[in-house]
Amino acid sequence: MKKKTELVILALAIAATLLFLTGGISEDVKEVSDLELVSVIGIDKDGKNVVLTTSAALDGDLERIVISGTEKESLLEAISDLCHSASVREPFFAHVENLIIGEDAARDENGIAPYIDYITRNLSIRLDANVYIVKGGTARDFIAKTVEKNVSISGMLGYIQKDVNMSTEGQVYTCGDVAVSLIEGTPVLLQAIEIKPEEEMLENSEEVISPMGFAVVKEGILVDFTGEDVTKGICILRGVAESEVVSVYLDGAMVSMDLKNIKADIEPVFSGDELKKIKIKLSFNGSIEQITGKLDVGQEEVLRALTDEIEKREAEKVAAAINSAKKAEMDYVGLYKILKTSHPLKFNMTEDQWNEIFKDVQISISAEAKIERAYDIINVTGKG
Amino acid sequence: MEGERMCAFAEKAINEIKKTFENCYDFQIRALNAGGKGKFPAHIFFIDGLVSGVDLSENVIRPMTDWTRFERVDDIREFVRMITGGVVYNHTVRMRMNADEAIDDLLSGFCGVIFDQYPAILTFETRSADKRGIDQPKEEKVEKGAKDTFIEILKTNTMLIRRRIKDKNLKIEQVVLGEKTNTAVAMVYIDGYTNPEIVSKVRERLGNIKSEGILSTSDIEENIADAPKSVFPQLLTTERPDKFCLNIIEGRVGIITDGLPVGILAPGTFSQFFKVPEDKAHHYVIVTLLTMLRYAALLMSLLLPAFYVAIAMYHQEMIPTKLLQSIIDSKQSVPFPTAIEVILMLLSFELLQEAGLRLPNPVGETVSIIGALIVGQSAVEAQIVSPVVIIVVAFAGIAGYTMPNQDMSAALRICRFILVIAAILAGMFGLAIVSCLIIYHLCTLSTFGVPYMDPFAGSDARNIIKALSREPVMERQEKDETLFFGGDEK
Repeated sequence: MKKKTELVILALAIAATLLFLTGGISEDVKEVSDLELVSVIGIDKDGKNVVLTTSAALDGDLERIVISGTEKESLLEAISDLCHSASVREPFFAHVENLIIGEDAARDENGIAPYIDYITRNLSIRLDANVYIVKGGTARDFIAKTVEKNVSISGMLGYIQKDVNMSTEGQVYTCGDVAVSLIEGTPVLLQAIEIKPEEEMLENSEEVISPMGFAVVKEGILVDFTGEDVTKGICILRGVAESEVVSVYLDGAMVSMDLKNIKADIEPVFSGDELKKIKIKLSFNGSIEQITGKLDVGQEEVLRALTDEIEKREAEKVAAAINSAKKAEMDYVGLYKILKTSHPLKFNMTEDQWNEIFKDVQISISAEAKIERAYDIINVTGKG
Repeated sequence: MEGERMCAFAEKAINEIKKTFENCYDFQIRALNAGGKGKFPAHIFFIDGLVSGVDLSENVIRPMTDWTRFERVDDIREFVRMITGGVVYNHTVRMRMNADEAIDDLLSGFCGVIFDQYPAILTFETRSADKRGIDQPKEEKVEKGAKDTFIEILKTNTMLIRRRIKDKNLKIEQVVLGEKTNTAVAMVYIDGYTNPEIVSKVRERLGNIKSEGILSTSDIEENIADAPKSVFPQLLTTERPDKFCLNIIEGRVGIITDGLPVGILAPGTFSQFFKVPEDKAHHYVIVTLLTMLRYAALLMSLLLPAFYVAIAMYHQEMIPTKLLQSIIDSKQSVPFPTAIEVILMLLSFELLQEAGLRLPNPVGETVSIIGALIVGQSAVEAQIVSPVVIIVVAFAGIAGYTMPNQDMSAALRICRFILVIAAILAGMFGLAIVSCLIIYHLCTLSTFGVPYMDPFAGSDARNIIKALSREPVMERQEKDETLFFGGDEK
């Protein structure tokens, strides 16, 4: 009995010690009702100052947005200033879902690196917060626009995230992904967004932004934005292209197809230990969704022509992506990582060695498409 | 013979008995003309109410005073021999050599006869048959199963057991406990089957009970449990004879107490409190899922309020954003901090439960409904508590009600409070530490030599699966292997 009592006392003593050591008993008790959930952090640069804009949902209505902002020399100071401002509620950063960086801030001499650095060091902000670059605008403008239009930023960005994946218009990366790339010294691709010009917005439309391809970040600094075809090519090469809609004109008719199962098989060709070339073989299915005009898609020559056209288009997009990367002298399409993962023994060069040869390496691209649903619903022939 | 002086034994015995029952209005003593025609003067005594008047008159007084039977008997010894030999039609007759023994019989529903010229007391069982009928179980209701229940009469209860277990090795040992109550307590087991170590431990502990009275199950439970101060029950109790018998067949020792419509079973291990006799009546897949649901309910009942307190006060980052936003919104106008809010709600819940239990059934149900629906809704509308807290506390409470055993349910309620306080003080860390201490406490408990957490601690996976499920009938083995830890197994 005595031994048991001693054990219990010992356990309690250890627990109490750990309690203090781990900060279990701390002043960090937060009443949940006193918190203001910050869902979006917007970062801009004004001269040397960091312009911080945050957005928080209020009263459960995610469509109603509260924004607060401050300007300080560093993000830490700005956030600290915001926390100590005379606000009814305490800003709570553990639920930040999106980090929006203005183009100027990203192009600044330090680029995005200090902000990502702050977030990775901060224990409360999640590393899975998505990062976006506002092309041709500031984060504050973007947030202000959403307030003006009374739309939820998180909801809208969530929609963009799904949309770009489905339509092969980009890929949203998180703070964690960006931090890893920065540490590895590899180029960073970030989803670019653009505030829609007022004249392009439909009346009562909540579509305030549109995806604008990738923002290419080298050594933490924004260097370029990719165009539509290059973006699609990158998505295909990186294996994140879910589907793509294309329209092909043939014999006066238009055939709209949904390209699915788009895969890129990247194969290095060696001569001894020397990398001779890289063969990229694309494969995908093209599902005919709509035919405008008269065209017998059941005919073999028509099918062949359609197949050739979509194969050519997809190959061109991949080529555009590779050429763009070669021109920028950095492998932001991610070939090095793909080859390193798929051929770890033979493809054993360092990243620096790869960067040296990347711009000159011969890359051949071929594509193989299979057309589906090639039947005529008006004159049923049994073919297709 | 009439006119002779009473012998010293008879005189002394009558005086002792009269003195013992002095000022007891229900004690009756009267002269009896035994053998008729004034042959063997005697005194008959009994406790009115404990004995059946009809049995006493028809089966004792009438045959004893019928002179035609004893016409040729002149010797008191011959007269007593005839009486004990069957002339008095009574199934139990005892010859007591002192007044104390006779008094004990008297208190057990016997009547006693003292002959003026005979140095012994004869006692006849004429126990009153006033008892309630075998009713349906009130606490442990089942849909597919036996509908009888134990009553307050020991012999009826042993009869219910014998009817189910027709094994010649079924033993029902009796001990009399309680210095004042002299309560008959029966120990039930199957000789050569039940672990003899458990049998001897139960026998020894029952024998060691020094109590003034045995009037409730806790008078026995707390006296024989290994750790009576622990809130966790270590003995199973049931009002159902089928459950009692099932546990006897599994290898447990049963205890039945005269005056209590409840059977006690030893040892009661943790997993046993999650089983109901109806489990045997349903398909094994359903029972397995239900058993797992009960364990899930245990965790929910125990941890949910504390978990809510911990994440709402310390670890808000763990709550999904939209849920956190809902919680924040619902708490905006609530004047109390989370800790007070949860404690208040838990106390209110206990209050409602207690009120519902203490009141007569229809009123109790009304109170519960009024409490749960109207007061709860009004409290939310008046913004005294947030709906989330009501949901959390109600969920924990409902999960607690799925416990088949009320003693275990009560233990969980106490632990729930402790865990909530720990969570208030130290968040998830406090919750983890107190959970560890509870698990440590449970793992150190043993009941009649069987580890309390058996088979969850120190047993193989097969037994753990067995505890969490029900095997199909063709593969089922009634014997609980965890109870046969060392003794002779058959």
